[in-house]
Amino acid sequence: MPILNLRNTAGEFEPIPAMIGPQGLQGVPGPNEITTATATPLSGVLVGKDGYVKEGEAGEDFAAAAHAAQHAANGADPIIPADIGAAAADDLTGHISTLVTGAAGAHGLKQYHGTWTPSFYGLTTAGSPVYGADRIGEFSIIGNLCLIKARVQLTSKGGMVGRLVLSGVPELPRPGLVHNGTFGYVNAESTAPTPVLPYIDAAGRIMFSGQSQADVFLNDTNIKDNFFITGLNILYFF
Amino acid sequence: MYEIISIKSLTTGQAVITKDSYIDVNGTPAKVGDTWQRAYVNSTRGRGEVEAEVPEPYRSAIMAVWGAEPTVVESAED
Repeated sequence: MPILNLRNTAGEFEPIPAMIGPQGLQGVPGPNEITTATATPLSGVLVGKDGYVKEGEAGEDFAAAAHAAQHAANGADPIIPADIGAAAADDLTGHISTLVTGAAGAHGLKQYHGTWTPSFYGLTTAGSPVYGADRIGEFSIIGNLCLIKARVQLTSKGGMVGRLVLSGVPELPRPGLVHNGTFGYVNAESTAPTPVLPYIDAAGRIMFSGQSQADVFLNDTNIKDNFFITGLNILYFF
Repeated sequence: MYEIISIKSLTTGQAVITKDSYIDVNGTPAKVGDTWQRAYVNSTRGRGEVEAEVPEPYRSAIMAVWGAEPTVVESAED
């Protein structure tokens, strides 16, 4: 935007002549004097094309008169679409983090983090396993994708019999897909298949199978009372 | 601090329970900590877990949708 040069030939700021009357404040019109403005003359006010208003006397409020003068110099206000205000209000207040977690939140993306409680049971006899200090489950959900992590420490198998199952996941996996994961474990018996991979079925049951022997699973006879799994990771769709 | 329990994804085959903790800050609820979440399947085992773990009236709400019999059979070969 061009800026009106309000300096006189001596390099000093000059008031707009139309604002101060035909003779100018000091009787010396500047080189770019405006002759088409019709605003009421103001004493000591400088208004440029950039819209800045410079007061000639400290403490005076020239707001209303300055606007009139600016209109005279610049013409009508720029046209701002009426829906900008409403759109800005909707968009900006909608982009708060809590709304992102809702189905109707910003962008329609469901994303959140949380905790779950991993629980062991035996497939033949559930039993009542006793847990140690480490029994932690966390998850992150992004849309229909769920990442679960867990660390579980036992101090007693508690009468579990049969295939070892870890339950308590935050979402049930989508049927028809195989969802394998990774984990590490300690305190298994020498009879445990190795290596072992965890997988989760559509009922939300995490079981542990031999990597190349699908019919071989980790069961109660393969683990000691102080069995400990750590770093369990499974990523699945639901 | 108080807890809000929510049921979501409630169908004849499953239910998901979430628990969130809140405190009041100048009269406005403010969420504290992470969301706890667990899915239940409408199998014999899952129904037993709901009976044991989900408090009323949420338990009855789930059972009202699930009906009297399990709709999911968990096979040992899955």
